[in-house]
Amino acid sequence: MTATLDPRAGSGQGAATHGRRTPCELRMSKVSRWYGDVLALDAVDLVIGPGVTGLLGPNGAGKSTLIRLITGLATPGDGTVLVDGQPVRNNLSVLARIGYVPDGDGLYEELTLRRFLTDQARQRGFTREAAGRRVIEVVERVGMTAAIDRRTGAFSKGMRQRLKLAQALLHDPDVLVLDEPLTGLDPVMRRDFIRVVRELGDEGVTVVVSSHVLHEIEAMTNGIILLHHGQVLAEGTVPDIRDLLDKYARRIRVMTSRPRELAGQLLAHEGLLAGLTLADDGVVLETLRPDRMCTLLAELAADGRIDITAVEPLDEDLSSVFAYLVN
Amino acid sequence: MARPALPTGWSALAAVVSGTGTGALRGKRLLSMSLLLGLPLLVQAGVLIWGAERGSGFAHFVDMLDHSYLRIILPLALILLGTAAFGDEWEGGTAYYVVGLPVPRVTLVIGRWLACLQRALLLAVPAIVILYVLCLARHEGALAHYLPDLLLVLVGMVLVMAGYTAVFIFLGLALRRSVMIALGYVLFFEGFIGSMPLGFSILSLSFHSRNLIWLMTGQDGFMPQVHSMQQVEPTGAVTSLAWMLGYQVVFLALATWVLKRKEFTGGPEAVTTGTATG
Repeated sequence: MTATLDPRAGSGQGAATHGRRTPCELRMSKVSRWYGDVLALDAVDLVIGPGVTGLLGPNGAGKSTLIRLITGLATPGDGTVLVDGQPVRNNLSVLARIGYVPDGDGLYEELTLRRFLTDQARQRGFTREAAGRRVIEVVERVGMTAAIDRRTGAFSKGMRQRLKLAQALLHDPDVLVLDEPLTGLDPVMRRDFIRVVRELGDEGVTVVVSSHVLHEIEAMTNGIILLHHGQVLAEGTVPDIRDLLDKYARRIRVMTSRPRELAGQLLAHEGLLAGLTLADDGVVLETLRPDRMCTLLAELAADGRIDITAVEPLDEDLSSVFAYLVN
Repeated sequence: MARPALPTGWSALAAVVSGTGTGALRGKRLLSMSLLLGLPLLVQAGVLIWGAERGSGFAHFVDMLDHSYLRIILPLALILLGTAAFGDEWEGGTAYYVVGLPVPRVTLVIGRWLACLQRALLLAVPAIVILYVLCLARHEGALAHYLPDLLLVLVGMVLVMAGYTAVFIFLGLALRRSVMIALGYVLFFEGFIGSMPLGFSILSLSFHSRNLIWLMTGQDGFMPQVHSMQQVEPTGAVTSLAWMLGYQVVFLALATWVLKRKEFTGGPEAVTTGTATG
């Protein structure tokens, strides 16, 4: 079922820019995993190199399962998961190179941020002094210096996400895995988080970031892997995926008080419309040339012929992408 | 930044003990444990205040210790700590912060066992010493006279607490409803079977703890019932010591084995249902 995209492009944008760091490769061969009768992953083959790679898929696609296998939290039912040629599960030298930002919110709520990170650093082999210094560094990197002595139980969702990132960066990992890291972040936090992830990719860290929202991944990387029903549906760059989408008509909702007049104007432009549905408050149109259509709508709005109050693309969400690819 | 070397040996163990104390073994558990351990002290303080003659002396201390702490309160208190040592991490969704560490699994288990034991002893030893003082305060010279026996009692207590903690850590890792099962183990196996005048009571920790303290102190109040009814040959101190140490080794080894195989499949929901979460 895998779409015909460049299978090597999944390595992401930082692949060529790593510096002092030894490149680290994740390799999954014929990996399957069941939960009872549910097949969560189905013979997945993947190679992920340095740089940021996005793992995209709707809920239930198998992203979290795949991430748990990469981080050694679960065992594959079949196949092998290797980091630089070594199995992950219970392998201490590999665990020392992996950082993980879990999707869950479980924290030691009574601890301060400093205490939590110091405990983690000490258990990762830092001396007391080195742990103290490193905690300050990572807290600064994720922008939480002001909250370092606050109890984590009082943290907002966004602060928790940044705390988890700080924890994952403590030991300077070669592989960083982030499970839905942008969930619950406000726009400013989101921008900062994305910046840190991109920087890490540029530094040569092998970053795997999961999401079910295409534009979130797009903001962090060009290289994506599409998962659906436990299978790799496509691997490639965001433009590859968009090219694939361009073969299909895109739907756009246009809000106006005069939908019939708008429909008339659009029908006058030959080859632009692939379909049109009228509604009381506007139209839903289908087009194979979304860029040209948007320009036309802007022109119509600008010269005052039609009062266009909103233009909303309906196919930018990931489920639409999957609907196209699966069909 | 230079990545630190893999933590090993004593430094790793010390880091796990220190990290555990502030992590899994949280305030509410310690508060519940303190309340449990304080109950006999309240009773004895009442006895002291109202001046009941029978409710004092070393023999009374032995009775209180045996019937309250040894048989019921210590095992119950240790259930709170032992089952939480790892079990809470899975239930609370923090397991990654434990199993993601590059620390040998056996070090994680022993470190958490020591952390539990440390906290239990910090509460239990003062409680037993206070009970001793309350029981003997009205008897002139008794406090100093029985001090060596008190120390031997404490040695026995440490051993039995170490055994119980190992058992409950294993149950907390291996089972979902570990507290209920641990309660069943304490009430049925240790409390009922361990106190019965039957040969197989020697499989229980409670039997060996009482036997060891009895043999060390010579206080008949600790004598296991199976011996007092002369149904079996008395068990020697070395045998009881070996059983208690054996309990610790076996259950810590089992806990390590389970930890190596146990998966973390997400938050509390995923743990209980065992389903994929995306």
